[in-house]
Amino acid sequence: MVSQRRSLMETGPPENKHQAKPDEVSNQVGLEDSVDSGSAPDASGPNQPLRVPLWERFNAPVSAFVVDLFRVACGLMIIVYFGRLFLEFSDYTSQTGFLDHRLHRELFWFTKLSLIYPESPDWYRLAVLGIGALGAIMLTVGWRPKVGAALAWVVVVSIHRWNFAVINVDDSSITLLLWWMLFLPIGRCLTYRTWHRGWRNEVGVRAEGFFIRAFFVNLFIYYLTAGLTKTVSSLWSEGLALYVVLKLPLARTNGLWTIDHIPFLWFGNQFTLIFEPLFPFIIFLRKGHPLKYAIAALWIAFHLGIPLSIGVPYANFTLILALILVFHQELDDRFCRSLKPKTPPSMDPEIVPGGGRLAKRLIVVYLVVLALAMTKKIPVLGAVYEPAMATLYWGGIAQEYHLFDWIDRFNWHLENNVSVKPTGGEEFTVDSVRLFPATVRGFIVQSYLLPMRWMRVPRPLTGEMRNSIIEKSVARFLVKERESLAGEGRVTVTSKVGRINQENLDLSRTWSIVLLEFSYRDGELVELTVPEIPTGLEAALYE
Amino acid sequence: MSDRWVWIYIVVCFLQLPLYFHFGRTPLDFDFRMDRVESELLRQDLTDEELTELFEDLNEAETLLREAQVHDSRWARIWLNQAIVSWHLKDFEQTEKLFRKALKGFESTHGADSFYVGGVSCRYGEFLMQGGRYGEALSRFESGLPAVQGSLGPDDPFTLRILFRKVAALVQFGRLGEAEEIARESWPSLVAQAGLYDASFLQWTGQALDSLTRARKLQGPPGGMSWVETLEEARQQGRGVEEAKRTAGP
Repeated sequence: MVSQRRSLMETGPPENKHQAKPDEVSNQVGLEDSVDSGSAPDASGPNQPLRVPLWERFNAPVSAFVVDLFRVACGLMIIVYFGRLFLEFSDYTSQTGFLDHRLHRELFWFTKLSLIYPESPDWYRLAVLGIGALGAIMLTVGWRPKVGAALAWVVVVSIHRWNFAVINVDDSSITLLLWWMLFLPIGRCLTYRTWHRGWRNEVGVRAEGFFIRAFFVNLFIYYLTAGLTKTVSSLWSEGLALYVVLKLPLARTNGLWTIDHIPFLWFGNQFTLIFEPLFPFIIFLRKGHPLKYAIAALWIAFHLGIPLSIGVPYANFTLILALILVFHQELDDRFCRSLKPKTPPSMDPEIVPGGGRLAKRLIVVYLVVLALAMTKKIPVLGAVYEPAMATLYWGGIAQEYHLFDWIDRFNWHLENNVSVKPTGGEEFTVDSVRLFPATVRGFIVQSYLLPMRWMRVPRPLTGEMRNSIIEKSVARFLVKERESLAGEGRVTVTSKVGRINQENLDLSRTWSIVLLEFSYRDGELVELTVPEIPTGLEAALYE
Repeated sequence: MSDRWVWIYIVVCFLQLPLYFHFGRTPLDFDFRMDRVESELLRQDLTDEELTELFEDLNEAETLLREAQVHDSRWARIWLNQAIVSWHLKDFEQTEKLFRKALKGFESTHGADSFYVGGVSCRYGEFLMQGGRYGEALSRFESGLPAVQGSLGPDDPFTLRILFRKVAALVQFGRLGEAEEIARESWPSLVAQAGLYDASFLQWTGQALDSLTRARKLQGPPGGMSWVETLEEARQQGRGVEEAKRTAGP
């Protein structure tokens, strides 16, 4: 209330506001700001504090230009994401990759509804990806952006279902963005059409604010889930989680960190614990508040640090881009002042409509279900976690914000050694990234070879999954190493495995296993000796 | 998004429902049934009636798989659970038959050197040991342990349980040197996780370790108590329980 009154004093009595330009008025109205709207219906006098109903504040218009700036930035990132899907095509989406898609569809039966089907040829799969990329381009340039977002969303959801076993928060962040693009009031500004028509004139256009505030609610659920769930993780509360995460094979800086760095990394650990759940409260700070800028700086540093040291760039850049909307008032002011529209703003500015009533209801239902889907392990509410998650999946918007609280289960150290012994020749080693890529997905693939499976594979089909990944990895490796595997020989892959925890921070306690062993001739597989390939269930056993 | 498109979205979602039902009926029914049976089997106070009901449930799960023409390791999961129910019912002949069937099932679906084959082999070894067939039990532990240890690691509670079963079997055969080697390496982990085991296993293990101590192969536990007392005290303190909870998978 104090800040509300102060803000009221700063912005002057309401009657003055009625004389202000409409775009300035709407600038000052918002969930984020104090109650300072001159158009408040219940203002009873010049010196009375104004009370704008929460609903009106939630709906208050925002700059359409800023919303479209967000659209363009997200569109560009989604185009890059599609580029990555194309680059990874042979490893995951095609038949030659790590996943046996027939088995995959049996293990994860709910992924069967997808645009891609097992018999589909590669050109078809590439065409589907191409349509998605086209949708992302349409979204970015503003040519039927909602249709573009819908196309990209359908393709992304299909690809995620097809490659469900290796999907992570990077992928679900893209789904999230595309989902919101369907609802946000986009496409009025910064389009290919308006570029030549003088886009400076667009800075005064307003857009309905409901979906922007609803997006903020989504951000709240995101950060509160990601932040608070870490507090129940013992590695996080012991101050060791960041060290362990950075030691994982998926981290870009894996190998750089030793136990001597733990005191330094402890600060990063505590920073995450304290600030991550606090980040979304930035939206309650009034326009231009110094603390808002300070939090934004921390927000950016935090989300730049993760992709630089660990990976997961799309999820982190999504959250950095969300700052465009968080700072919509500040950006609006900046554009309004510096771009100086050529034509004076109209007294009755255009308001870009958001969705209809049903769309708003759908978004409210989505946010409630999303919040319930994040209640895993919470007493009482936790009972609805699985149905809520299934509902999200059913709607094509599966999200999971339990980020890195899984470190207590996934704290596995894994080091592969690929050794090749040509018949009659010198033994040599091959970089293990030729077998499993040094990426988050590469780590996820290996998780199915250890008891830390990324996605929950129904027991005991984990054995079938493991065998299929090993067979597909060998086939992929043989194709990649065709030249170096000329002649005859034997390849042995040994893995050094261990748990990184309080008692084993220096990885002094590890064990070795022969992960796979096979013989080859002229780049072709002759025999897989480890693991032993099963013969198939004998009918006599169950008949 | 206009309301018209929202309607289309909702209709498309609802149109998918029958397909989800069609695809998910058998796997979900199977998983719910098996999860229920397995969680019931963790109870110590099951009556014969309840056990017979569980066996019925497993038979129905078999029918599900047969009707859906499933030919994977889920069959072996049923047989393993049937073996355990029969063991509880003290139908030892049937138990042994089912253990062998489960082993064969996992061998033919996962491969002979797989984790599940190792795990079932070790469980079968425990069954044999309870019947006093130490020689057969020992060979089951020896064949199963590498896969279990390789997959779960040397400090996993299941690995440790089987390692100390093996110690007890080796002590029975007077192969004290081999028993000592395992015990010396792994006793700290066992004590650190004693809260996860039942009293009879720790009693049995403690007696084997005390035999090794009496034979001057293994030092007594720190504190001057016997191994039986040390392990029981650690069990009562619930050591390792919290750690196991936080690292438990979904």
